Amino acid sequence: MAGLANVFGYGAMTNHQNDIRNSRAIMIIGMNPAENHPISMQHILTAKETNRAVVISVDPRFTKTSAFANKYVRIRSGTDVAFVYGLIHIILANGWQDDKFIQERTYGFEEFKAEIARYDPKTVSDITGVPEADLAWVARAMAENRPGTVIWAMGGTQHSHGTAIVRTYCHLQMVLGNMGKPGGGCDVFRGHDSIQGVTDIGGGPETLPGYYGIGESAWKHWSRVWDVPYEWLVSRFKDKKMMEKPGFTVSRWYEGVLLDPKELGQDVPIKAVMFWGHSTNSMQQMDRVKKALEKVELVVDVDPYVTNTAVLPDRQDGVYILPAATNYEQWNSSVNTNRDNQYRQKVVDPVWEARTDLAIMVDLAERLGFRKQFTHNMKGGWRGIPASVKDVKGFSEQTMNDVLREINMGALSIGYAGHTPERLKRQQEWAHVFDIRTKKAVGGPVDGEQWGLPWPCWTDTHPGTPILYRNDVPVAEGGCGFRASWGPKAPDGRTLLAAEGSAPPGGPSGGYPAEKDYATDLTLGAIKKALAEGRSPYGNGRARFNSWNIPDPLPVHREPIHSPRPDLIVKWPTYDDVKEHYRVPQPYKSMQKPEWAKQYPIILTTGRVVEFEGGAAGERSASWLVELNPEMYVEVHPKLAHDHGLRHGDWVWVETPEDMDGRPSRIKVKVKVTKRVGPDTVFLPFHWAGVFEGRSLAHKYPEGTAPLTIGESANTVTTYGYDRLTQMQETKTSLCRIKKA
Amino acid sequence: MAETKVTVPFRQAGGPELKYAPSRLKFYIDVKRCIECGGCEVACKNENNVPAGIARIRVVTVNEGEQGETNVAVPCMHCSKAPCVAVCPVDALFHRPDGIVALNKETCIGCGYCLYACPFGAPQFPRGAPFGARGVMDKCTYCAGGPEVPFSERERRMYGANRIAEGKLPMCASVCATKALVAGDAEEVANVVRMRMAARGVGGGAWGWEAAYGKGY
Amino acid sequence: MEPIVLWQHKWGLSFHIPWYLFLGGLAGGTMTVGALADLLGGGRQGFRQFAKVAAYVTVPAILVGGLALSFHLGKPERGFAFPLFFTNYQSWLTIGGSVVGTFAPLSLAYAAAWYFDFGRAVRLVLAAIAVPLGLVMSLYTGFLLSAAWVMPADRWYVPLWDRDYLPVLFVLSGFSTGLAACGLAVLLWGRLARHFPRLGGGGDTGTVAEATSLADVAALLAEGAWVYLFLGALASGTLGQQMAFGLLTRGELAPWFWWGFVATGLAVPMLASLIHLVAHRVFHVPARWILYAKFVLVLAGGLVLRYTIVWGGDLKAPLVFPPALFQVPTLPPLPGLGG
Ligand SMILES: Nc1nc2c(c(=O)[nH]1)N[C@H]1C(S)=C(S)[C@@H](COP(=O)(O)OP(=O)(O)OC[C@H]3O[C@@H](n4cnc5c(=O)[nH]c(N)nc54)[C@H](O)[C@@H]3O)O[C@H]1N2
Ligand SMILES: Nc1nc2c(c(=O)[nH]1)N[C@H]1C(S)=C(S)[C@@H](COP(=O)(O)OP(=O)(O)OC[C@H]3O[C@@H](n4cnc5c(=O)[nH]c(N)nc54)[C@H](O)[C@@H]3O)O[C@H]1N2
Ligand code: SF4
Ligand code: SF4
Ligand code: SF4
Ligand code: SF4
Ligand code: SF4
Ligand SMILES: [Mo]
Repeated sequence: MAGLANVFGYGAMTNHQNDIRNSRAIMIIGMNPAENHPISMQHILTAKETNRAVVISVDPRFTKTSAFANKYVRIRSGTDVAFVYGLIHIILANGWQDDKFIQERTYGFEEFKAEIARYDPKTVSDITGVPEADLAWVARAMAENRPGTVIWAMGGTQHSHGTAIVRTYCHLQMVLGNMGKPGGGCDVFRGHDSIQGVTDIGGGPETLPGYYGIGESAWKHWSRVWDVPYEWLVSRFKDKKMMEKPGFTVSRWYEGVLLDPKELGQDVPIKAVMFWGHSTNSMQQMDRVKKALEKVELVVDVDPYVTNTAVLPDRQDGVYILPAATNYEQWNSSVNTNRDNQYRQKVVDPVWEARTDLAIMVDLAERLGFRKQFTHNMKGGWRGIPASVKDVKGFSEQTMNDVLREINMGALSIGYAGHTPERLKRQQEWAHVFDIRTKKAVGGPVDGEQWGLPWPCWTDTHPGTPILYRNDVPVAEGGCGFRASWGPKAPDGRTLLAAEGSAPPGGPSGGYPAEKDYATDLTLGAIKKALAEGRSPYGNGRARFNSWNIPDPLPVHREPIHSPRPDLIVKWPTYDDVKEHYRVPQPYKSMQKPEWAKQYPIILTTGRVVEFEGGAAGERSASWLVELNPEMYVEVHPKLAHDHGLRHGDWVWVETPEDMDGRPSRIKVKVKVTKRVGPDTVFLPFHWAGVFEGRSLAHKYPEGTAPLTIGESANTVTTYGYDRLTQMQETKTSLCRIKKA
Repeated sequence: MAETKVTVPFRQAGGPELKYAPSRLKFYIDVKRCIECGGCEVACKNENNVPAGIARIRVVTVNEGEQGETNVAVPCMHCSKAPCVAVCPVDALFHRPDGIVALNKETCIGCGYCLYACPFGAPQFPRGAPFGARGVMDKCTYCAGGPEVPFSERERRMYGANRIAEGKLPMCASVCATKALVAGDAEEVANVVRMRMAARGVGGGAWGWEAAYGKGY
Repeated sequence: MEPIVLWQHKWGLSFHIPWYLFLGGLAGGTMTVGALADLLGGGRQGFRQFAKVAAYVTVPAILVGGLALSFHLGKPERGFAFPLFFTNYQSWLTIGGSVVGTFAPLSLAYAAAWYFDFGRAVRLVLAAIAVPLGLVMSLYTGFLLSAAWVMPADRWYVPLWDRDYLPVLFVLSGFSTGLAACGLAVLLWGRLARHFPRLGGGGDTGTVAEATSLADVAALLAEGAWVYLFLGALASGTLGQQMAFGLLTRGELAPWFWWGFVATGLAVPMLASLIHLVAHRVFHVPARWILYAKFVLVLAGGLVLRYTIVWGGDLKAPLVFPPALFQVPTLPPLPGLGG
């Protein structure tokens, strides 16, 4: 997301899944939709059938998705930058780039070109293991079939230089001029149910809702929305400095417990941890997570199921499990990967002793003494909450609507004003009038609206923006340029505003800066003024090849921290160590050890299977899913298996290098012999839990709560390595060795 | 450009009575679309309360992990000339007017003869004691329940859901992630097939009785 | 696109069906040969004795076999009431039901006719009915499997269960095992008779057994020849049948088929007969134990044959896919870049 935001302005999928039906080329890189986004395959296959679209799958594994590709390219995990740069190299060498687009709508192409020169097909082929012929084939296929889309997910992001990888995907589309077009775009598929919504409302430690950041102005904006004094907010923190300092991320919170406070970005270690719908077997270096869970004073898990969190730590007390209701037991709205906002009814009241997340939250606020401020806002606050929420299981639809209205009110930067509960509900009733290819409603009271009012949906009359950065339709109909997030001029003096003649029709013909205060004017005056003049409130800027304000302004291939190629580490090393990042030290070079390649010669990558979701406490408790995928395994290529004297179904130890805690970790799993992986790579699904380094934890589950299948967690052996910008875990590339057990 | 769409049989009519439905209900399985997500199988088990070990529909994959990897979901094909019906000694298997091959668990003696006659291995038998399978046969009902009072508790317990009587599609087809599994009125299904074939050219990946058993197999 | 092969297990999972096929076939065999001996023997002592023993062997065989058949059903109670339930008369299971249903009482009656000595006339009438019915009985065990015989569109889906060869194979095997069973019974009879004179008969069981053994050789020869033809047909048959052939001769079932059936049930017994012949005729040693061994081997072989055939039924005719559809757009090689 950070990658996209730094190139285009918004950290979100630019087009939508249905729009893939308009693509003529579909490059699926670092993603396996057949297992992880099954429904999206409908659109991909339709494009393949009706447009004869070329489907390309770039993946270290021949996945279920690859089976549907016209071309499968096996890439070494962690080398996407080189691969994509290789494609761009060929595209530029043949003059296939879209010069008009580059000249009018992008910034920093010259220096980008210079960087590209280093990535000739030979070099790239050596780094990625992709034959030059395949590079040529793919480059040409992408160039000859436009518009084309590039789709990725975790295969691209879960790397120590994941942000860089994502930016190169964007750059490929910019070079091809595929941005802001139906059938084009950068279509990252988000993960969880409503994960886009979570990001939008400030799930991360570095920003308040709506990507305002956590600087003073951001706090002031939201203090106005919440109608609480700014000073009161400040008083809740140690001091203003800490208030404006990004906190820990989910991927490394445990270091805040384990490390000496002197190394931390705060003077006390973390004392309590509360998991709110997050599993711990999904966290890299789980052996360290375990230590932290044992050391920290208080552990709370708010979850419908008893997760790994409850059984992993060896401790007798201090672990509290709060049964949460599922989304079927509460009123809610969700934002999917298309930026579509959707209304969802409550199906049943919370069962057993479960309570809705909001009920638990408000109860907590009440007990901590700030319930009033918590539920209050400019419009008076959330209605429908009883005087005392003790033992209240859930609130009414009215409450949910008021929460949503609060977001409508405040999250103006990304155009949330238009998603009023009323409109969402009406769309739900009229779902049948929306066209499957364009997502646009035909007739009825919702006529002309886009399904889900994809943000930015500037006002309650705006149809929503299904395709971002599309400058061939008026802003009022969902048009917009690239976001002018970095002002009108770059530090080097070059303009960041779109060129003359490149702007959504009905407004100024060229680039223009963002409307003043559009994100903070709660009256919507600024936004309405801009719309009235046919301007996009956030301006009309340029997409950046060169992001001067972040590490590696131009993306550079960097070998994974656990690289199988010592020789390449020399030429393409990882970053220098970082003293503090999200309050913890983040070493790079000092953690990258060339000798590992000898002791641990096999590349380890991890991911998902269709039957389970994340930590899968719930899915592993569903008999019919377990029937289809009963036990944890490691995918091993026949050659590798036979070289190790392994047969299908044998038990093996998978061992990875020592990282922070100075000892190698290992898991005992069954071998699945398959050609999905290449002979140099093994793959672990990461959904299992309940067994730790060969020891079963089954006895630790409260009576009758153990899942139907338990197994070793892949993350027991995943190793150190985090993205330079987002601190996303490098769970896609590590090194390991396997031993018959 | 051809867009494929699935039409729900009897939607307009609704209601349990099927007499008026002249044409036969069919499945169409598109091997060029099935992604082996297993949604159909899980949804079937959930909707019809199928005991573990029994799969009224199951997904078969060939060449896993290699070029040419192909999946096909195999339910009961509700064959027009159904071998199972031909061999069942007690006529527990029979054709409904709408073409569904239905099972009467009241008369089935659990001999397993149908299993050997069926091209698709659709009939299922509860795994039993050391002395082999026990109990009567179970198979895909096309989500049409069985010869019992529609929607009765008894029907639900013995045969599972009766979605057809509710005017709904079979569960497996309605959840199919990619619309690889298309169910409904033979006419409508034929249209879907035609549209897809038109978009793809010759062959088209339609997969069913005829295609499955090239002559002489 | 390689075809999908759906494996299915049911009858092979329990002993019922194989044992039923074995005993049913055997009973058919004993019944036929016994009755024939009775009819053609002209009342000579040896033949009478043979027929009598055969009649006695048939009864337990068919009863046990029938029980095995009934109890493989998921609902045996419904099976017993077959005249009421079995309404589909084109199903071989229904036909079989009636066959077994008439065969069993007849075999009882015939045995009773011997035991209580109803007099020759009555017995011969029963024998006259028994001969064809015995044949049908063995035949039917074969048809039961190759049930696809009644299949529409003239297809069947268990390639090993070839409707042209299996029934005859089971008839011949019925004869060979039937004769072996009788032979064995005759020998045992002789011994028993010595201890319990009131059983009557006794007499020169040796010669009878030897004659039986020779008759059995004939049956074995015929059976062997038929197996040869059967394999030939499979090997040159449809893809499915070729797979079945592989499974039987090279696959998991090969050891059972070659050692368990061909060696144990055909080759060794014939060899044994030869040795016995030489031993007896040339060197004048009775060497009865060879006969005992031979008969037991034939029976064992017959049983293994049924097992292999039933297990082989787990292999279904392969499903085939239509050819691939999407043309992959082929791009001409690029100058300087190869590919
Ligand atoms: N069934 C199911 N669906 C899910 C989820 C689930 O848990 N289960 N999780 C949801 C969530 S949270 C997310 S984020 C998404 C994730 O969706 P995906 O990203 O599709 O999921 P993964 O399987 O983690 O990774 C995809 C592919 O990346 C490949 N890969 C690994 N390393 C590299 C590399 O260096 N380069 C390239 N090009 N590819 C690489 C892997 O082989 C894998 O096939 O799925 C969502 N959907
Ligand atoms: N090795 C490896 N590790 C990975 C990844 C990888 O590819 N490889 N992928 C990473 C990625 S992208 C992600 S997103 C994470 C995913 O990992 P997690 O975020 O842990 O994913 P889930 O297990 O889906 O967590 C959701 C939890 O919330 C619970 N839950 C469901 N509904 C509700 C609700 O309404 N309320 C509450 N309170 N709880 C609810 C579920 O029971 C579940 O326990 O895994 C990460 N870890
Ligand atoms: S699991 Fe849910 S979100 Fe995922 S593809 Fe299926 S329907 Fe969509
Ligand atoms: S059970 Fe088999 S033979 Fe009978 S209708 Fe279904 S698919 Fe056809
Ligand atoms: S198992 Fe039941 S349905 Fe199948 S053939 Fe036997 S009696 Fe008929
Ligand atoms: S039609 Fe119904 S019963 Fe048959 S497979 Fe589909 S869901 Fe199961
Ligand atoms: S739901 Fe559809 S795509 Fe998924 S396995 Fe079943 S048939 Fe295939
Ligand atoms: Mo995710």
